Amino acid sequence: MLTYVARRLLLLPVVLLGVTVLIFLLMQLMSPYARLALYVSDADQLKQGREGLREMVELLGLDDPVWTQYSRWIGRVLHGDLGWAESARQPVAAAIRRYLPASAELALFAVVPVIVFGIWLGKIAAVHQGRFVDHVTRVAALLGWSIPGFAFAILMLMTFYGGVSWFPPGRLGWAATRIVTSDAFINYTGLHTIDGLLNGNLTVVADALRHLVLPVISLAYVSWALLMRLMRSSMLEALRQDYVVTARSKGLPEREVVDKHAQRNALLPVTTVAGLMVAGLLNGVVVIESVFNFRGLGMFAAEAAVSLDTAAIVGFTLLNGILLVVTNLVVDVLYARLDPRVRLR
Amino acid sequence: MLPVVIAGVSVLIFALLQFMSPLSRLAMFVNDPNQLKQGPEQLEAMAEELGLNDPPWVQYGRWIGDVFRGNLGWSESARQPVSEAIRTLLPASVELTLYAAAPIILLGLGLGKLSAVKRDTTLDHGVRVFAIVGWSFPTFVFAILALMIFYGMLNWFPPGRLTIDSMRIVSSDAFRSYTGMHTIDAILNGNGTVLLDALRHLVLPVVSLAYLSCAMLMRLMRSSMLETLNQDYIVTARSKGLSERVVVNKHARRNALLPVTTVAGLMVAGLINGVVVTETVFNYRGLGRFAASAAMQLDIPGVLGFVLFNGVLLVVTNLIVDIMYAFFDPRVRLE
Repeated sequence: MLTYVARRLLLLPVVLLGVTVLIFLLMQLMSPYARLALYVSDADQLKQGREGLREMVELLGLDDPVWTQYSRWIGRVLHGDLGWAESARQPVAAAIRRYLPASAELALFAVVPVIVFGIWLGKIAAVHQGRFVDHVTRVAALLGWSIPGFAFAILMLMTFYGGVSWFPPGRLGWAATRIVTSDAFINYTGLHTIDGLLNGNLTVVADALRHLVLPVISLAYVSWALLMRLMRSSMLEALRQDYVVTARSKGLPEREVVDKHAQRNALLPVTTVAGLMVAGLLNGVVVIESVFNFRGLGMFAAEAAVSLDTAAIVGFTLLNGILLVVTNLVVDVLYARLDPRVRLR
Repeated sequence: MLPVVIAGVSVLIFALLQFMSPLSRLAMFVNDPNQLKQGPEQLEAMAEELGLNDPPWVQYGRWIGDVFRGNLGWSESARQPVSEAIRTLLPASVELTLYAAAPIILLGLGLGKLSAVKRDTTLDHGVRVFAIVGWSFPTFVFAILALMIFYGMLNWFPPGRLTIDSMRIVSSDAFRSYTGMHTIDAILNGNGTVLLDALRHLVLPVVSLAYLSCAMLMRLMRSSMLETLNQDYIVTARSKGLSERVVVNKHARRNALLPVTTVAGLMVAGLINGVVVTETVFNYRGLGRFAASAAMQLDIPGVLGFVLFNGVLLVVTNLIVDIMYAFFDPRVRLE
């Protein structure tokens, strides 16, 4: 197992390199001037006349051969210098550092119900195939899948904020924001719920949770349907296998047959999709954060895209790529744990 | 089962709407914007007349009857009745989705299979990096980059659905609109100019829409195929002396397709979500753009019409997937 993980870890930088090369090559299709923002750390540098900009392009070597440019750029990226994000009016790296905790909080709260409900309900539905539980679960899942994320989010906002003001948009109310920005409140992680707990300030925790309810539901409800459907069909498939018959005829209790023999095998395809989906939550976050005015990476990306802010878009894409590669690694390791045969190769 | 789901969608939506005031729900019941341009008293009277203060189940029964008669209310953002907007804009989105579904399924399954069979070769690595890159670009980012590069810099593929010249041909009397899908209509009318122009406008939206989902299917097909190639019946098939081709295509692939079919079906049905983003970025006049502008202007009947329509579409796709599943796996049929 350790050798397998070590081998996969060695491959990680190679894959990351591939991702950066591809992103860089795509950018090469743009003119040097459009790429300037990637190399500056201050908006004033871009506010120059034509001559000044041409000099900068010359100085930064944006007309050099691609590989020279790439090695120079990747050096900067490794030093955490991703250029200037005009849409957020701050360096890209600073913006990512600032907004990441908000999105991480949202995604973490959404991932748990997606995975737990998706997999668990899928299993239950398969075990009780054709019965009432199965039908209810399937209808509920289809309902989620049939409402587009943005429409669901807007309906939720219209209902629970516009209709009855139970859950407001934004990340925190005024009172809680004042507490969080005060000196007495120490920001350990940037995740308001966790910081609130660590500071022993329940007002902040309650307020943060109140603002998280709608975005988390909107983000989770749409995704868990896919996992549930897949787990159900995968579990049905596993329950029909010969080894399940063997396990039953050995006299094992049904619980053990289902949880140990069938579930472990059924989880294989589900793991692949669950991993991709967790990484893909960042996509969903873009829409959900924009609807709920939840200031995180997703809103940052949406604003960058709308104002064609190249540096910010590239920064977001890079982060997304890294996240995906890492999730992929985690999935592969989980896969190897679930299926010992994978380790042997 | 299927009617239950559709009824469920409509009940859920209707229940959510009950939280809003009767006046803001009025637009769902009128066919003409002038009816909404009245003083508050008349609007109150209208709400009373339409029974918007009745108990929810009475209202639901009346509303669902309206929906069945194709009356979905007035969409302020599209400035026409919702059902008419859906009818005129649907062909554009169907065209886009059909062209995107083909590469998603063919490329996703084909490359996934190849990558599993040729595991750890250059081809496998290439396919995997291709998938990771696809999955790491959010659709809207990819779409905007594609537009910036291939329209902004190179001017190869313009946004929109048709250029003005072809638009004139399409709307002229000589050109008959059979389906509303420009590429198919052009072939039926034997008009090469329109066909080429429509295709040229489809390239970018189709690629943006397809890439992400294609990447996911590829990954799933690859791991599912690797899983099947490990099974005992593959060893048996090989030791029977079957050619590798038959082993891979008949014995392994058919079994590997089972989990993939579930996801592929849901994904194709979910394309309509991607369509919203893609159509908005490329200014492609279809259902997705209609939904996006309805959402932004809080045009309730517009959003609702779209959601209901989407629900019906999804339920139908789901049925198709179940039938295909039974086709691939005879055991399902017996139960």
